[in-house]
Amino acid sequence: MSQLSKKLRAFLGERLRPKPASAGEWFWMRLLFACVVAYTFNDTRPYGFESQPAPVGIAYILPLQFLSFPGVREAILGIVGIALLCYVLNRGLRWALLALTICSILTNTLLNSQGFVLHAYQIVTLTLLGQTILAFHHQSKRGSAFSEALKRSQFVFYSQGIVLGTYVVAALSKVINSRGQWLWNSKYLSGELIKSHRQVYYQKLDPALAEDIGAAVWLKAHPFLSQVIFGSGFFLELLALAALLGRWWALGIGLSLIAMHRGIYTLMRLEFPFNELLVLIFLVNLPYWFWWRKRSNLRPL
Amino acid sequence: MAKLGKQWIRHPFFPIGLFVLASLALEENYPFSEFAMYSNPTTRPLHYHYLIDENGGELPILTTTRISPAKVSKMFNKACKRENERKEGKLASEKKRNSAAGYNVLEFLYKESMKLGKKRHLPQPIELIEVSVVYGENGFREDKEVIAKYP
Repeated sequence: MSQLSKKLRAFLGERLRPKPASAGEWFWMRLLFACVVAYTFNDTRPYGFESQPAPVGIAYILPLQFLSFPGVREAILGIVGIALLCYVLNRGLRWALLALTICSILTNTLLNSQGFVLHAYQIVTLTLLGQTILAFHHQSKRGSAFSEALKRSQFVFYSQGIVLGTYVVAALSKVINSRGQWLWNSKYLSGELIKSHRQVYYQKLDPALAEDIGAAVWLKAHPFLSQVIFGSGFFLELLALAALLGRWWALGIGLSLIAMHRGIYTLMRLEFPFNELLVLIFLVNLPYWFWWRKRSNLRPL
Repeated sequence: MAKLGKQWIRHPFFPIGLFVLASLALEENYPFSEFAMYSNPTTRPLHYHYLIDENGGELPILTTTRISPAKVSKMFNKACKRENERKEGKLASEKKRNSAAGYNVLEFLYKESMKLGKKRHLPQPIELIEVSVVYGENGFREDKEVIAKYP
């Protein structure tokens, strides 16, 4: 037993480490991620709120209503534009990331301080935050000794870790909030399908969505199959960090997570586009499989 | 044991584990979140909300306010909590509390609507309807109730 545990520890200790990443691969990741970040700043809602009735995060200590003042949106968009350009070109990376993270936190904290929580942009801001901390670490006394290859591989590894970590957090919340009963009780999620379908219908009163509860009734009639379907998603979330074991693991788990999101959309009409995009960029990582894999001569770090 | 602990703290995976624990501890404080959606499935009734005009016609919430119906429900729940806190423990009847909380939500939605183009403005008056999805023996039942009217 102790032999097995030693082997497992050695396996995880050895495999859960940054993998070599080429400069081209990291450039494509930066470029694609920059497009996603730019899109999140397209949301004009945070600049329209003149109060923060239910503050969260930094809004507890910093009133963020100034975002609605004239010219603030234009100033933020200007800063974000310059910072994104620097980020893609890998110039002044830490300051560019810091500016993007601060702007993302300020605008979305005000949006989330209106009495409702929007879970769309968190994964983007968290990835920015993780990359910012890493960029500053690389400038520190200890980090400055790292080679460019090691820095790149760490950016990829920790970006993957943040994206995957959010899924593990979601799985652990299920365990904690249901007191370990989530898998058994997942058969009751069929009611949530009706609720989410109705909520989507009342967004725009689309007649095509008015009476679509067949899946909910079917799942209610098949509780064991409900547990199997929702349970497979639960285990995928819980074990998501296994994607850090290697590129094939990242590809397999990345594609499974995207399939899970597509399944959730089919059943509940709930979309998590930023999750899917970040999984696609950092885990599925198509440029690597199409291009660098064949010509890559990546050396071990 | 201490040596093993030090090894793990220095391991590249350690910051990711720390991030997971921090997210659970910090709960809903942007950008952190415990991502607790659908984390406690039960047979208790589930609630959603929608808006109607004075003739009972349903109103497209996202189109008229840029706020989704799911957010309206979250706002209503938070407004109910605030009403409870405002009464400092002396709870009024649930109906009165819901009515006060619903009025605040409708007022917020109406103001948001006025920021949009004229074609997207909400009419006056508007009513907030709460629907309870009840998990019954032979399927689901949807019970409706008027919560509040604005103005």
